[in-house]
Amino acid sequence: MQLALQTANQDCWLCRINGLSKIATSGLFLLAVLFIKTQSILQVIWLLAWHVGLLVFALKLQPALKGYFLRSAFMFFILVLPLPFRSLVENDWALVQFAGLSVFYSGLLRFMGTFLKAMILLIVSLTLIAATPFSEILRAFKKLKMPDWALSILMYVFRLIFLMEEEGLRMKRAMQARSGKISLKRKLQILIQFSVVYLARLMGRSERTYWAMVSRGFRGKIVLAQESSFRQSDWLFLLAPIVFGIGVFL
Amino acid sequence: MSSAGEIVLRLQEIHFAYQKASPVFTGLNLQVRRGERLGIIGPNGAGKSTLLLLLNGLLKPEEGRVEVLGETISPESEMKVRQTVGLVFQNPEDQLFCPTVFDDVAFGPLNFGLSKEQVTARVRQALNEVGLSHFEERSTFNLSFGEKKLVALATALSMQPEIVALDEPTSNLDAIHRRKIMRWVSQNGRTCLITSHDLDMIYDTCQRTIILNRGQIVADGPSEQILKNEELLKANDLELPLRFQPIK
Repeated sequence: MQLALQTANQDCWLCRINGLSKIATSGLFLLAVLFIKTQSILQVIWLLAWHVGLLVFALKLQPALKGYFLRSAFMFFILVLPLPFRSLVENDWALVQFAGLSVFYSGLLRFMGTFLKAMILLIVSLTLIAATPFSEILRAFKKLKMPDWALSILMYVFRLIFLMEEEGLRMKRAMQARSGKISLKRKLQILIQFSVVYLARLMGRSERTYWAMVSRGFRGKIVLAQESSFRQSDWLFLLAPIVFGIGVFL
Repeated sequence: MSSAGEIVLRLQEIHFAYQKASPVFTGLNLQVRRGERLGIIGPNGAGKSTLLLLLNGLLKPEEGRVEVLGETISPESEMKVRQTVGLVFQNPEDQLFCPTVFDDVAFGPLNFGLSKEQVTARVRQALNEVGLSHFEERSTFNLSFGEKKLVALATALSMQPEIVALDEPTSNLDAIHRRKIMRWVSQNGRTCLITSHDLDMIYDTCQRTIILNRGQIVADGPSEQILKNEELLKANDLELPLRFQPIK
């Protein structure tokens, strides 16, 4: 999160694009990708390449952000790994057979399609988060008529993520400072204690943050300032997914 | 006790408890005059922070009345009270929740329905007052602790409150930021209520000091008189300010 914050404040053309345009673009891309048949997904591999290019060249991707992407990709890869071993159509043929397991053609196609779809979704989301300050995202959602309660929750959750990270680190350090080589049973005991105290501390801090909001006149309605206008470059940026979407549906 | 200026804050027979078995206040009475800088000291758990929360209407007394500018805090007057009493929390992490400094400082004025131009002017003025005029676009999460304290103060100042309540304003601060806060308190001209364990700071900035202990005000008077009274301080689990303590 800290990384995404820093990246979002970079001065690059992608960061200067209007938040609403970026959100609409990402939303349209995601929608189009979700509607593409899994078998046809390989035809849009260029979309993945485009977003990787954006992250690497426009945003000057930081190694840690790349790390997040690779870790998520690896976890999803493990999740979809059983897919090639299942035949999805009749009269399917096995491409490879070993140790009693068969890799089926239709399964392999489904595996590649699902994995690629997930990667596009992941990278589109990552590009949006990395290139858009959170305040811009809030403003865009407000323009898209997101209800106030949802905006408040979003704002609060954003703060909560940092609180969780900080509290977790602080408690972890305190725990490590007073523990050496310990048994698994003791480790589990500590983990349970840790979780309970962690939750209690988070609740305490959340309550104080809420008080801070109320003490400055918050009554459940989020009011945002500094609305930016839509420029020509923002319209052009929005054009890309529209063209892509038309291509998908035709 | 200073008698200049009208009474802007009045607490009458305040009873408050988080848990019935251990009440925080049992019949607390307090009056604060316009322009006064009041130091509130006392041992841990004496109710110093709770007192500030009561003044802002965040907590409601079980008995008694809290009056701000002659108006009793009620659900109808709450918004006006929050505009009048600017509250700065002890931990700035609790106070700052928006992505940028501008958004955080603008949060209060926007809630009070000011126009965008007025909000921008207020944000600039507040940040200028705490010496952070170029911090508008900075992320609140990437500031130093001292800067966060100053931004937290600016979030209250942007509402242009008549009274500012500061909870432990100098705790955990380095010397430079402590000095900045002290300079602001001494020079700002508003009515200020400051809770602190930093007795030297209270001595330097507040004309009047009260000692809170066991739900009551046990001493109330000029800071010079209260903070030099070693017996009184000891009886309330406090010590003389460092400057009056002989080096042992």
